[in-house]
Amino acid sequence: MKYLFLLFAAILLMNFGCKKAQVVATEAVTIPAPWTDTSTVHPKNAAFRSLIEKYRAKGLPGISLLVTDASGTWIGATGKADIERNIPFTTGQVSKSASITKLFMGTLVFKIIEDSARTGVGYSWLQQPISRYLPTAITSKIANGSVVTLGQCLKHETGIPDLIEESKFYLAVLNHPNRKWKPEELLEFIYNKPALFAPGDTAIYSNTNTTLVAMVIEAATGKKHADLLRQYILQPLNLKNTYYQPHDELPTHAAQGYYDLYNNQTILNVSNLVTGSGNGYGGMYSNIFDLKVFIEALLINKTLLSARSLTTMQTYGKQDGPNEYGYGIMKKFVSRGANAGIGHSGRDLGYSANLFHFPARGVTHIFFINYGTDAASTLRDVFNAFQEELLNLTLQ
Amino acid sequence: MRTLYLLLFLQLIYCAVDGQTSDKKKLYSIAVSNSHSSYPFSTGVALVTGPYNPGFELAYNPTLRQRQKHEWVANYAASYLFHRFNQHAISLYAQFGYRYKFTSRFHADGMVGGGYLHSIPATAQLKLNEEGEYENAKGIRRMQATVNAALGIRYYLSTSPGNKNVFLRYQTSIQTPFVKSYVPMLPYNTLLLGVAFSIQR
Repeated sequence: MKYLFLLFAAILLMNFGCKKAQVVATEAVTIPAPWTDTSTVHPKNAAFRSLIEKYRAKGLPGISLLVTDASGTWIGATGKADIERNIPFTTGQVSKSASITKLFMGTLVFKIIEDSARTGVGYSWLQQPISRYLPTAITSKIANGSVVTLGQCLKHETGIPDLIEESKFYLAVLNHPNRKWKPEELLEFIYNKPALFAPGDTAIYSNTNTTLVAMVIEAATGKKHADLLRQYILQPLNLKNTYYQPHDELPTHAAQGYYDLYNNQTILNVSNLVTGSGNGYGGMYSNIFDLKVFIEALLINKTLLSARSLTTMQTYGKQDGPNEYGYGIMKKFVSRGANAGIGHSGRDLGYSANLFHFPARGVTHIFFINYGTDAASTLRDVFNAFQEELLNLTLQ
Repeated sequence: MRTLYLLLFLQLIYCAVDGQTSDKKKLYSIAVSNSHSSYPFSTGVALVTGPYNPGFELAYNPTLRQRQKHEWVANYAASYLFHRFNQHAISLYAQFGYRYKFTSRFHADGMVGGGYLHSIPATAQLKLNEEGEYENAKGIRRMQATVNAALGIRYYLSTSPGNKNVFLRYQTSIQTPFVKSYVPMLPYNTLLLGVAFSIQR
């Protein structure tokens, strides 16, 4: 009998001893705005403050919001970054930006193209099939894998199924909550699945596409895409509050993420159910200050990419619901016509974020919310109402 | 109330079977387990190599009907599973099955069953109060149903019937309703290693 107890103790030790949470309890840290904050004199100060407080009271745990318009930049935050420990969600709060990672990936592709003298790839790279870079053992098992191009992956025109739509994937995440997934392991979830459509016929968002982009980048350059992101974007822009999970160790002040997992109007801390971060489609943590620097360099001041790259990047394809996709960039709220936003949204299990510039109005809005908004919960409606009200307020 | 009905149901089964087996030795078992969330019977050696979601089972295992090479058996169990960042699962279930005696020492069995599972979230569960602030949702636990099927082998340490044996059981179970919109049924595969022993009256 004693052997049985020893075995039990060994299993417990292995369980508790080997796994370190990627998101630890949040510490209170104040990250000040890198400019003089004039939010209190912004004409919409009261309206913006009222907006975020209203939706915090309706259940969004923590919100940081930045709006830049003709009157200047307004920043504000409310709620908790860590509810259990009563840590406030601050304006400089580092939180998960989720699929905004894809906008960084798209930008990286063009930076690599622009550095063709060293990288050996030009704009024709976008038209080259991914099978030129990836082994047949992989592409032959992916629907349309032998014919789709890098550009089609960036524009979601591949017809390749989305790996995160697979129930097997969610079971695996439950099973390996802290796992640092390799791209090949993630692709296994969609191996031998039928194509959604013929390449180029239409566009349907698929996270698998950006994983393939990351793999092509690594095959073409011989370097890790996480290192290239750092080399070409994060370091030149001095984005000190931006981290790429799990390639970077997350700071102890990163926000906890919450989700109505059981659809019963309670929220659970799901920070450490990691949905394949670090493989091109998600995993970036940042704050409103760093994302402001990034979108200004990319779309407003246009200093990050050449005019040719930026024009190419913003060549949009067919509409997918309320979105259109350029090369790694998203045009959202297209039903608003000229007032559509350009940038990217981010939705993950416990986190949401938006990064959009509205060129017709000269407005930018960026927010982080530590709640996963895709659950079938009334909180999803709360989030959608927040987003809609924010748009109406900023685009007035 | 559902829990009460279920416990009463299990108790009735126990009494009915206990009456039939009162002249036999009482067999009890204790086992440690590792579980993975994966499709039924889809997990293999990974249950040994990790990841580890540890658990244990305490059970009463009467023989319902006995022949020279065959047995009809039952297993009334209470178990606990800790799934990191997900849940503590406490379940009460009954299993019924068939056991074949390859030799006097080596037996194999198959069982099916079901019961009640009490799920306690393994991370903070929070509820919005009337002031618009989140607070710990103490008391909110989830009542779940579980069904299972198992294949097992056991080795008797002596040839006397009803004596101590060690067993290995591969069990697949389904917990429901888990997450309505994403994972309505949460399947687990579990490997149990245990020992059964008799207590003379």
